[in-house]
Amino acid sequence: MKTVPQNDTCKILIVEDDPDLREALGEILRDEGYCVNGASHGGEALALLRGESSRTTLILLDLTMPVMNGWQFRAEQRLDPELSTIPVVVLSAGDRLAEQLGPLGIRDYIGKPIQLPLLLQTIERYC
Amino acid sequence: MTPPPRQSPPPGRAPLTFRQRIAIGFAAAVLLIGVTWLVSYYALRETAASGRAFAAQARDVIEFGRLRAAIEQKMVAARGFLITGDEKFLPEIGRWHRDLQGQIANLRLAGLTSREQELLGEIERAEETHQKATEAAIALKLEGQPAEVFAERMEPAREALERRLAAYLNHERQILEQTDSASSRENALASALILVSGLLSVGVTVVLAVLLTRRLGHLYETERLERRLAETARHRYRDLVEGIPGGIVWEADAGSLRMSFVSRRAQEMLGYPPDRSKAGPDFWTRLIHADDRERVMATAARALREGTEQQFEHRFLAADGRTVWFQTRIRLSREQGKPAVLRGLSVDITRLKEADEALRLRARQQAAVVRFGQDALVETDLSRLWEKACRVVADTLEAEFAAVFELLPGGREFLLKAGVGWTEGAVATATLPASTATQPGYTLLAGEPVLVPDLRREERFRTHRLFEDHAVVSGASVVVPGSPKPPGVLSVHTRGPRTFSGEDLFFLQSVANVLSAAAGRKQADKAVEESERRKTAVLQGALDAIITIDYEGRVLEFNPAAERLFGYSAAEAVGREMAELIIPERLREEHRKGMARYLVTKEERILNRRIEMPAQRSDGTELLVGLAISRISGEGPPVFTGFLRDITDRRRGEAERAELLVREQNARAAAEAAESRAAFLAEASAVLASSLDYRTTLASVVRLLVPRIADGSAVDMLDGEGRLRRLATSHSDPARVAASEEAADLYPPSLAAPHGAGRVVRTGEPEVLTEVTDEALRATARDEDHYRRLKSLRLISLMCVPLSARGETLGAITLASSESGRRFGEEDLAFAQDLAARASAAIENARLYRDARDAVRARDDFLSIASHELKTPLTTLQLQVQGLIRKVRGAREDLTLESIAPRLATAERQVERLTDLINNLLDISRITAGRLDLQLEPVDLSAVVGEAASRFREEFSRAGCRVEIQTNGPCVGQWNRLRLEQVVTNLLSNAVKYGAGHPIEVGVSGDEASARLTIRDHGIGIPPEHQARIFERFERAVSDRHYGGMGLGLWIVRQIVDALGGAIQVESESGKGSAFTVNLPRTPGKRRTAADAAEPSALRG
Repeated sequence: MKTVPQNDTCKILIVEDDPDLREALGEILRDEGYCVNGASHGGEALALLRGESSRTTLILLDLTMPVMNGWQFRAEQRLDPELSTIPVVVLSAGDRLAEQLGPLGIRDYIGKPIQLPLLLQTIERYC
Repeated sequence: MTPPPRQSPPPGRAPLTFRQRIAIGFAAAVLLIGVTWLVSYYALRETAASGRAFAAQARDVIEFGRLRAAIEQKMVAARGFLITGDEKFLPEIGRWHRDLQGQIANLRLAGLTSREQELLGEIERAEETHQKATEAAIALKLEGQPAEVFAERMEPAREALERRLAAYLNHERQILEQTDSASSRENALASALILVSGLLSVGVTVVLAVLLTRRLGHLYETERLERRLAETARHRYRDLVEGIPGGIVWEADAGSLRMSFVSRRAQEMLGYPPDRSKAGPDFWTRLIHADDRERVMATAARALREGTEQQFEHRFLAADGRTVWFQTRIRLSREQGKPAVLRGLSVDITRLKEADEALRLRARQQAAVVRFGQDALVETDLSRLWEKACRVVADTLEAEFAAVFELLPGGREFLLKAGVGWTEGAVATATLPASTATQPGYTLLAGEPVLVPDLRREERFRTHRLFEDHAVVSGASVVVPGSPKPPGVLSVHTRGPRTFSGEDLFFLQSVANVLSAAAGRKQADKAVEESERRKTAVLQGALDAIITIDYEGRVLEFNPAAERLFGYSAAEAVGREMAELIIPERLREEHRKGMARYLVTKEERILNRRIEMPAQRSDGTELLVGLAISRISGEGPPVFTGFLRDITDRRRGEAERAELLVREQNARAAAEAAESRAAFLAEASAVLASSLDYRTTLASVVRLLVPRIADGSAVDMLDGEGRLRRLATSHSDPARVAASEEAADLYPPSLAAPHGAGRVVRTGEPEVLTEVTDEALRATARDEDHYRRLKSLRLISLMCVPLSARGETLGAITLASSESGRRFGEEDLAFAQDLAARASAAIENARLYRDARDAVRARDDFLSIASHELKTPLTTLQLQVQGLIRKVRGAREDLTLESIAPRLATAERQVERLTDLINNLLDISRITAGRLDLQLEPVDLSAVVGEAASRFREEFSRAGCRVEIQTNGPCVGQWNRLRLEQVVTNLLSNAVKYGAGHPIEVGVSGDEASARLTIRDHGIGIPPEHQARIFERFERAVSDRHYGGMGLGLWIVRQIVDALGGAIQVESESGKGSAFTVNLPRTPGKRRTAADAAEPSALRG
């Protein structure tokens, strides 16, 4: 029996408006041993990031969200020197993501539906 | 140079003559010279005297000088002895002593003044003293005393002597100087005197000389001038005299009648040199023509006797043998102390005389010609006329022969047709060749009068036997003119040499011309006869009726064809008024008036033109005649000839042909019009097809219509609210475009209007107003202003056709005519309908295309959103499944059934979601395709709400939403259960999604007519700017970034609510949640199908 891996150093923030998806993602990542937090829109995410005691290592960002969408969040994040260095991976169902990410300054993205192995691989790069 | 003007002398004193003045002048001169001489003489004398005195004095001085020299010598000698002791000096001393004594004595004798004497005495004494001293010294010397001793003794004596000498010398010198200065003074004075007097005399002499010279000069000048004047006068006189044209001035001594002066003209005019002309009187007398001599001499004698002026004409013989006529005027002139002189002026009047003669000759000749001309008029027999001509010529020209050479037919020979002076039998038989070798032949060919000074020596042609036989020498010939060929030559000949003058030739030609005229007349008469004969033949034979009338309209001629045509015989017709005979009664007056007018105004209305008019026969029947009238010109009142032909048949044929032509032209015009219309339609179609923007293309078509098809056109279209709005206007007058659009703006065509676009759109039927009447305008106008505006458009004719697509009228095209005045008719309507059909088709196409495009776009949107929406639950599902797989594969310690179960539950939920979503999407596609058919049935809204709430219970709890449902019992209406459930479900699911963690309130209420459903959440809310959009299908730009899937559900809700005849609203604030309210009528009122619901946007778009 394998043990549950512990990656205390890696703290992931999932910013996704769909609760089911957010939960599902969170569970899976916790299973992998990551420390996971969630926010339902960009505004929540910012509040969380600014208020946290320990620093988030990676942000998984959905683009289409009410209140503050992914684009708006990213813009805010970059303006904030505290937060701008935290890496972001985009999760989106939209097409032609590559074009959209250039301006956002994001390299990695995962298209929906999400391939789990690919996701985990990508996360490992940052964690 | 004129002599200076003489001044009038002062009164009372006789003027000094020139001579006197000269005398005085001379006397003065002489006096002065004398004075000068005397003065000079005395002056010179004085000068000489003083000169002498000076000289004497000078001599004295010299003498004294000698004395002094002697004294000096003596002293020298003395000293010499005293120094040297030489005894030779002793005698010298003695000598010198004696010498000077002698000189002194001389001097005394010479005459000295007392002073001089005195001085001399002193000198003597001093000298004595010195002598004594010297002697003493000598004695001492001889004694042998030293020098100083005697020097001592001698010195004072010497000094004294020296002093005395010096004194005398000074004195002499003084006297000399005095004399000198006196002398000089006198010299100067004398010189001055001489000079002055000399100058004076010279001056006076010069003045005199000048005066004299001038005077003499004046005189000389005057005389010279006078002489010159005289000379000039003489010359002028002579020039005058010599210059008299054609006149000789002469002077002869009255006694001897010898010419003293004959002007040079004599030489010019008569050829006699001056010296000869100065010869004796005989010379001139002999020159006078013999016949005139006696008369001249008598007249001259009378002049001499009576001393009166006489004038006469006479002939002179010139040096070259000519006879010259002169008119001479003579006068006796007596001058005092001079012999009587006969002066005369002779003027050459030869030319005058000749002219006179020529005039007389011409007059005679002219008279002869006139007489002959008169004879020619009377004489009918040409041959007798020839003879008369010859006689006249011979007589008038005083020639021996005259002849008429007639050119025989064939043109090779002349016949001596008539003549005078020829031998018996020559006339009418003698012939000459007509070649240029003979005189007549040459003349004929030359065509000009020919002068023959001497036939024998003639070079131009040869003589002829005829002339030789008659010893003809000189002659002249002229051509007798005639056409086509001259009949012959008229000539005159003489036995003696004679040069005929120009006048003679002129006369000859005149006679020939008379002959020619006479011959011409004969010919003309013959020609007239011939012409008459021919004309009669023509008239008789013509097919056309030829009627000739005079200016009063009476028939002059009526040819056989006219007889046949009109049924009158010529005898009946001639003399009657033509109008009465052949012109129908109703037209007679007009005809007469026309004739009268022509005669007065000479306006040619109908002459020389083909006209057609009705005519009538003798039996009264009418016929149509083609008529051409011409006027016969000539002197006197006009005569008209008409050529008539029966054209009744022809006319008919022509009428038929004309009709055919008109028909053909009409047909062609119609075909052309149709062609141009077809071309226009093709062009319009091209414009319409050029773009999908049918508004622009319609406007282009409207413009295209003007001005080809109509003066003005417009298109009106129904807008979304069912009102007719002007889309485009066109007119050839831009002002009217503006006026029409303004009217359309202010008074949009009402669908209730009786005419125009309104009516057409309402009825869907075209309208043609061939004449736009005032009533129609009034009926259409809504008020006075509207009426005025309509009237200002000046519409004459109007045509309006509807534009319709898919059986629905969308608008109308109106065509109007104003300036061009064309009236629209059936064909125009057909054309307009064709155009409308094409336009409608274009609109239809545009719409269909747009619909298709929209549908495609909608589908693309749909697919895009759908895929986006589907991905979310799929992702979750997939994750869950993959997670589970990992867990299972990984066989980790935390792989417990408890941990798996919720995952599976989530997965299941996702599948549900997916299913719902897919259903939604299918619905949407169905709704979009217009397949949302709603079967209505009674449905209880409250029950539906309750069931939905229970279905969502789990979800509610999971989301942390406390749900509160408030109903007032059943709420029933005629609705579709399934769709109503859909509405409730969608609204609830949105509430849960966006209001997670907050309570949700659901309320059902209503009244009789309608029911109300309210679902409120307290979630994130919707900002106002998005509220309007959320019910739109999918506004991709905004909603997709925020509300990815929300739009779908709400849109479906909206469609269903609309289909049920209700309405949905939202109230929301960001952060405060949203409240959706649905109002549904219990029974559908205005039931609109989904198709209807879909349409307006299509129309609007």
